[in-house]
Amino acid sequence: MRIMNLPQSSIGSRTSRARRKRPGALRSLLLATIVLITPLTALFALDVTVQVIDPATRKPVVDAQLIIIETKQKYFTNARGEARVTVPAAGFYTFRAITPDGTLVQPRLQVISQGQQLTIFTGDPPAAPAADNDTSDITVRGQQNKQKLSRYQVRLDEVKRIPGQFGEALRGIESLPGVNAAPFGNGEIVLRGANEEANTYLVDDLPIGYAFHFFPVNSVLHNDFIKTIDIYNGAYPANFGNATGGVIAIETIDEVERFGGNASFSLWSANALFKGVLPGFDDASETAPESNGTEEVPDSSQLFGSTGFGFGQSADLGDANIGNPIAAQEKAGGSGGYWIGAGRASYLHKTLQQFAPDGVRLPIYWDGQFKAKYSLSPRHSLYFYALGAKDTFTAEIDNTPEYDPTKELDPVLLGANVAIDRAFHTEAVRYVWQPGSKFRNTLSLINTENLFFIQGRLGQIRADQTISNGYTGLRNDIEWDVIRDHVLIEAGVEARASRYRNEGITSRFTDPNDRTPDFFDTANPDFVVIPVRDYEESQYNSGFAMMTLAGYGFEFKPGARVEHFGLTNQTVVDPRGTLSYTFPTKTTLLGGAGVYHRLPDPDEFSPTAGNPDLLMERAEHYAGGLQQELGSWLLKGEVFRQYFTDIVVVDPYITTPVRTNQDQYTRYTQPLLFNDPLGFSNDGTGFSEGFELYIKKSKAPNANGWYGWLSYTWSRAIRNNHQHIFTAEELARATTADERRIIAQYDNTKDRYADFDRTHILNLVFGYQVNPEWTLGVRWRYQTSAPYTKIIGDDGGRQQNQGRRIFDPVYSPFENTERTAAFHRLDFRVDRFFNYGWGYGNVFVELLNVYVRRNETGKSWNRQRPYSTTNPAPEYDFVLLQQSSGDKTYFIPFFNLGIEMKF
Amino acid sequence: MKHRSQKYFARILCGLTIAAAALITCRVDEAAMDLGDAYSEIGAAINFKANECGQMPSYPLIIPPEPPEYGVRLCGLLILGEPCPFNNYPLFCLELYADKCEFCDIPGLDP
Repeated sequence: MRIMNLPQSSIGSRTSRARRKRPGALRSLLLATIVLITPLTALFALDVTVQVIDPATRKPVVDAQLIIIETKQKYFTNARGEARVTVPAAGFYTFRAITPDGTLVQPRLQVISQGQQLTIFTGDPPAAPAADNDTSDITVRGQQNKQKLSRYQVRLDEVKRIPGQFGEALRGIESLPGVNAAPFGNGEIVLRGANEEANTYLVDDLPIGYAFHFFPVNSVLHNDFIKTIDIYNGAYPANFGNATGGVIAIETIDEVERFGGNASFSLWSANALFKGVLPGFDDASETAPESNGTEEVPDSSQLFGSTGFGFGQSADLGDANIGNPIAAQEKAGGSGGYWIGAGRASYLHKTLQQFAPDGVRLPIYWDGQFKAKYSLSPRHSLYFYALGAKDTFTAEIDNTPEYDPTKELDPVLLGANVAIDRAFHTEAVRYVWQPGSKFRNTLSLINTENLFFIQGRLGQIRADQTISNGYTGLRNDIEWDVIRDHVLIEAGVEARASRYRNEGITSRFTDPNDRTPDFFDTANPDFVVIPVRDYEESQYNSGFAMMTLAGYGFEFKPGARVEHFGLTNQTVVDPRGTLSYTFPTKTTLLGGAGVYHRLPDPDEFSPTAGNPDLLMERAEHYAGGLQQELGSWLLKGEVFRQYFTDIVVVDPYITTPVRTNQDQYTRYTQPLLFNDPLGFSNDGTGFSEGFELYIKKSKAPNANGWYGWLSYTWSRAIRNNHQHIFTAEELARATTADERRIIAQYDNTKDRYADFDRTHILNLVFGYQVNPEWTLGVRWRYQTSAPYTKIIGDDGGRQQNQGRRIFDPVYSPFENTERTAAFHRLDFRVDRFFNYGWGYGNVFVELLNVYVRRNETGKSWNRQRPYSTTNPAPEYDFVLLQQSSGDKTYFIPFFNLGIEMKF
Repeated sequence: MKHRSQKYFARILCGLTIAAAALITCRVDEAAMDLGDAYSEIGAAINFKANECGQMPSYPLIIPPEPPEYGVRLCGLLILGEPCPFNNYPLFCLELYADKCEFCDIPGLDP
């Protein structure tokens, strides 16, 4: 006999346990407080639902007698095999179940919460049949058989409550190996030394325009929309494309048991998620359940809804869904589905506006996600997706002089203005056909668009652009388990009709090696204003095939990907593969390599203002390592080396012999431009290398205890843009553009550390679930600081902006050779859960930078003043609160409070 | 079991709170500036102005030990904004002595 004790809401039990312990006045006060803010459902004796199931038939047992030995209460199960029973308090009870055919089982079960659902099996659950045509186990192996090399997976419950990330789950990936993120940066991450923009974010294989809002505390996805995050640091498989760095593959929740939701509030934004069950077309014919005396008949969606709710964890987590296997099979066997809708809106422009400088309106943003699944039958499913986000930001800096010059802003910014809108939306319809456990076909129709608008002026720089790019694509993927556990084939094709529209004017550096361009020099400008008018439609088609060959401990995954970009008529073939061998001790040796390509950004290959002949950026990834599984422990170490070529860089010297003039004022007098600068070339190169260490301790999502991980990365990332650096002598001798173009052919550049390079990155994440009411988390981060180029003087204040002198720094010729002290910080978080029958409320407190370290993030240069020992000055991260008192400044850790409700 | 874990948790929480409280009170920065840095900052401003104007005041600007950072910043910026000829230091450089004499803390000028 096997007994499953699956609390429907482990949270719900906390109230009852707390109630037992707290005496007298304190208890009354607590209860009164709770009554004021919550429903009363959880305040009295615990009602739980007990379901009796015959595992042989996988059917509920009707009319089974159920006796609680301790209370002598007797019940009978209804048509759904359920009985609603009442127990005086939480604790262990012995349930005796007697089926009509005389089978008797007597498990001892723990009751911990109001509304909990307990399941009693009247025998051992049968093993899952392995027949090929059995549709009850219809998960094709490819969906689960992801590569082990260079992939790290985290569940929502593991990353949602990491301290120091303001409750944003997507930021949890910043604590994983190989991930290099600036401390409290804008959300962009560097994976194994690839450029920030070289990564791809996918949500259920669908593109999103950007992952974080302008105010990067918030991502564009609701936390509870996420089930798991797979991060491929490198050597990723052939089914992903258009990234020379890595892939962040976000998988959304794919099961909804009942109507519910989640909402949270902070000082700057609020978000909510609702989800519900879609009825099947055969539900109407379902026989109404019979009530049996005192029992209440639960909602049909809860028939097998024995979900392991974790406090603080989503009920829909992959591993958290300890779901009743029979329930899952029953669900899969019928029609119906679910819907999930989520949204977020910011209001920091109302709540925090007072902290912004005059003229700067804090960002306004929103995002929304919708997903629906409808299963027509166990073999046919339809998915609908709509994802979107929008950000706006405006600033207009006043030019009025301040009485106190120390109060003035950067003189370059005075009189500047900018308005930026950006948005994306992605819609998709996906049809999944799964005739059995061996084959799965996924057909997706995808439409996506990224929108960007900028209007502004800063000295001579002017921009007024409206850019939109996106595509409508049709994609088909197959997974064919040819020989179960030995041969798996995955393949796919995608045809995209890409659209790119860009109109307006933009500005470009005349010399990318000039680190201190003059924004205000009209006689010899450091920027040129370029008219842009692109209306392009092109094809971007791709296909991939990969195979998994497994046996005798080996697993070989060869694959290849083909991509064709119509605008530049470039076709690339990328071979990729991984090989692993697993010893019986669960020790796995891993190795892999691959070639990867990425399309340049649309404004870079703009036919009118960019270089339409740009090639795709290219990378080669090599990685190898060792992995050891020890129960709930995982130890993993990997070494890697990656080469980057054809990186798109700003190139002031490359020209096209002839191009049509897009300037609306001069095009009629000068229709053709000769030797017109293209602005960008594929001259950039680089490489990265290093090793990673990952030690992780997992725990079940709804269990007490601790989990955590240690990740360490040693790496170095090198770049070279191969743009000739003119010496003073060359500039004096070569006065014509032709002469300079000839000199520029000589590459006098040197490899340098990439701007984001960090030698050591160490993350220590610790989460401890004390009991269902309390969890605490600790995170410690250590990072070598990013390199910078030393400032060795100033230019003598040559620039002026409306009478204000501007001092530009003079940099050392030894680029990116200096580093500030290492960054390290300890963050702490406590979560308190208030559990009720309908869900839970959660209040959390975060303490950032507990030991009050002033971490230097770089050097700031004040353009108001000349070079001195105080200019440049150290720049510190903001996660400290300052309070000045007299001649002293007190620093205290940054606090963050949040409220979340799940129902 | 449950009582034990709660006690354990309470101890951890208490310990962390005490540790945090101890650390919080430890971090205090003085608003006063190092004298060498003050001379460097104001000296850079004087040098710039002297180069621009071709002359500078004939008397030195004496900066007191541990001058307030605000006073140094204000004085440096005011010197940079002085019109030529550069014969005298700005009056508001008195803020350098704001900690030393009462009337040097000029009303309306505060960090």
